[in-house]
Amino acid sequence: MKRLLDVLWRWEPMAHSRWELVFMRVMVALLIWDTHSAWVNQLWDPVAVIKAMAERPFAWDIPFTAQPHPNGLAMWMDVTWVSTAAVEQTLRALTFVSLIAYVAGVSAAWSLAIPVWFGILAGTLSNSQGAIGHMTQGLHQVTLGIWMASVWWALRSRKGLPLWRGFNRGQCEAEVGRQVLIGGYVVSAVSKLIESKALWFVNARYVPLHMLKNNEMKYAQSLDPAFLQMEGLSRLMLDHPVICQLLFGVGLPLELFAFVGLRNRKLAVIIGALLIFFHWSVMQLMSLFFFFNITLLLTFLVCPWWWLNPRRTAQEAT
Amino acid sequence: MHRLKDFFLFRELAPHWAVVVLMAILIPALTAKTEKPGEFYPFSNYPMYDSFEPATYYVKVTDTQDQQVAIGTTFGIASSDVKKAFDRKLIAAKAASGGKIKKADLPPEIQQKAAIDVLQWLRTISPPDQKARVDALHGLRLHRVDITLENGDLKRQSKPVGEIQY
Repeated sequence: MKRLLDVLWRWEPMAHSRWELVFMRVMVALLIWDTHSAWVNQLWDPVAVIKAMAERPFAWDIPFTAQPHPNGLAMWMDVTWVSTAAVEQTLRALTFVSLIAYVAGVSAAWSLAIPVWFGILAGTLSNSQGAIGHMTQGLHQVTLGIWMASVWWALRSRKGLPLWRGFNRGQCEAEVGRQVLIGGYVVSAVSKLIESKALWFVNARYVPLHMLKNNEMKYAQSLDPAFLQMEGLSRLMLDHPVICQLLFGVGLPLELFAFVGLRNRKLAVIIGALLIFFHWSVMQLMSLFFFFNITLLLTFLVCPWWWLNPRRTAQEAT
Repeated sequence: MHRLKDFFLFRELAPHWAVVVLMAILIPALTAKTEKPGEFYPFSNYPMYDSFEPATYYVKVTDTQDQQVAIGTTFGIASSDVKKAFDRKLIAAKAASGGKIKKADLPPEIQQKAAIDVLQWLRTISPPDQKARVDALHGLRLHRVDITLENGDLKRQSKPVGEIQY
């Protein structure tokens, strides 16, 4: 038992193989492209996915021409230029070319520069309208981390300085991306603890109200009556608050200690799978959209392709 | 101390802890006096669902005959963003009044002004292919739906807070 725990607790950075990094780059590129095409909405229809990826970006338009409530970089500079048709279309075309280069293995320092900064500026403009959306923040934090890691790696390499943990460029990018991703979870837990004055677990019994609110808001968005069928479940959860407290209450320690998943591949898959399950549960109950988070966890923590590879043990040794 | 270091792995997970310090401490401190403390895109301290209250609300949009309008397709925006935009105006009005009054207790005329501003904004951002449809409505109305827990039972109250006609 002790040996098992020792193995589980061991600090063993994930040195991804070349082929694994290709999978990871494809996943990141697909997520970035979703922010220009919303192909995920057609997830279960492959033909519609391809059509959305190919056609929608041409018609995609950032509708905001002003920044009435500046957020982020917009507090210091005007970012509305990013939504002018010529600039937006050019940057989107360059994003497409850049993502192809990224998947092909070109350094993220070059290939992610435009996708990352265009995405951040577009997100900044969108979040400067009076409402803060959190859907793409995790993706842009991770990709910014990958881009910065790539620049840092290139600078160290050029100066002949020792490389971080002996990682190659792709491994360094992936490790920083993973650490940034998990940082978001820890921050979220810290905020919950501070704002709820450590009463988050106790107050989780009020989740059914927020469940109803979210589903009715989704109805207000689409007028799809499927979102109006949560009344019974909400009342059941109100009558049995322990269900909410168990389901949502465990989310807090899971987020707070998510960083243990950075110790090694085994803990990564455990923490990653638990976080995915948590997101999935909340998606079902609250009609919130966590596709980006789930895919990033799958890509950087669970890495199913590695576990499914029968030759992984030999590769781990190298 | 050694055990603590081994648990948190500050050195090995330096990028991770740097992000945690940045988003949980530095940005909230530096943006404390802005409209949205803790938010600096793409960084956030993720304040949503940080505390569950026994009362909440959302907003919906109808035409002037109270026929509900699908916010997503009509205005190309999430319904949660419409609520946030409305809420933000209430927060600003609350701050302007000295912050002693609850948002829900703000005078109707202030809530009406916030609703009108939001509806006018929605009209301006509606996608080009929806403009004609929005114009054909000749008016929009914003409703506030409060969901509360009273004596263990769920209560809903919907009321119009403001409208525009064009």
